[in-house]
Amino acid sequence: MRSRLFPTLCLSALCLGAVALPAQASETRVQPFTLLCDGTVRSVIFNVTGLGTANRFIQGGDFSITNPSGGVRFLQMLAEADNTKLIVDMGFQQVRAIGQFTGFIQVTPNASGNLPVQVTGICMGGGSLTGFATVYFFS
Amino acid sequence: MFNHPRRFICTLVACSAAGAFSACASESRIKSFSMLCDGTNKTVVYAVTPPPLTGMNTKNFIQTGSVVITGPRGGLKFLRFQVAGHSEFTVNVLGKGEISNRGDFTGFLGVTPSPSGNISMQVTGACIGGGMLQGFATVWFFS
Repeated sequence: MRSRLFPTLCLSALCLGAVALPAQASETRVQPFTLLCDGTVRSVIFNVTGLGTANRFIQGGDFSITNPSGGVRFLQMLAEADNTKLIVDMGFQQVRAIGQFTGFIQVTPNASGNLPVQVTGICMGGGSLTGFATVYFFS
Repeated sequence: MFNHPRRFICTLVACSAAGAFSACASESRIKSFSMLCDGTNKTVVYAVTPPPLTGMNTKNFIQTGSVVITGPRGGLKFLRFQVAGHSEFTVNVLGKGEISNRGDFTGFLGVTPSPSGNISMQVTGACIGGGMLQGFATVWFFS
């Protein structure tokens, strides 16, 4: 019995390893967003889609501002609207920021394969700031 | 223990597979700070609660640090973000007039938390122009 159990366990581990190792391609999700520039903290939440339901690993993110209005004071991008999952942030009057992790942020998409991402920040000058938020998934 | 090569290889594969799934999560700790801009050095110290230690680890591992300035007043002269009292654990730096910087380490800074499980972080810098500079300091832990 023991002589069969161990090879079975080994085969299972091998299969697990085989599944884990090839799934390392990166892919992106790009989302346009708009934020009201009234000098107060504003947030938008959007879903990134098509992720499947297994755990995913975020390896980075970026902001590019296409219309800064009177300018950014700050912007933060949070996975799952969770401030322990900050992906990237930017500061005063900046129009671009990119962050790539050495490690990864683990997230769990919902049953529909969607993941909520929150953009929070302050901008000034009236009107609306527009930009793109990009999330990079490792697997 | 491993008197059979096949058993050794199988164990290695199993450990690799387990490692691939468990050692991948990172968590951020965001802190807003402010600093009087009178041209002299100022220091802000605060505590963060890192993720719980796992396995046999006695240290938390810092993988990334970032600082973004949201209200620069007359501008920075410099800023250093580090583990409090430990310049050997510097997480990030900004220079004259800079607004943000982010650094991702290839390796990690291993920091021993206090008995209560916290780590003290420190922002030291100088800015000019009067009033208060404002910003966010963020540290990411790898666990």
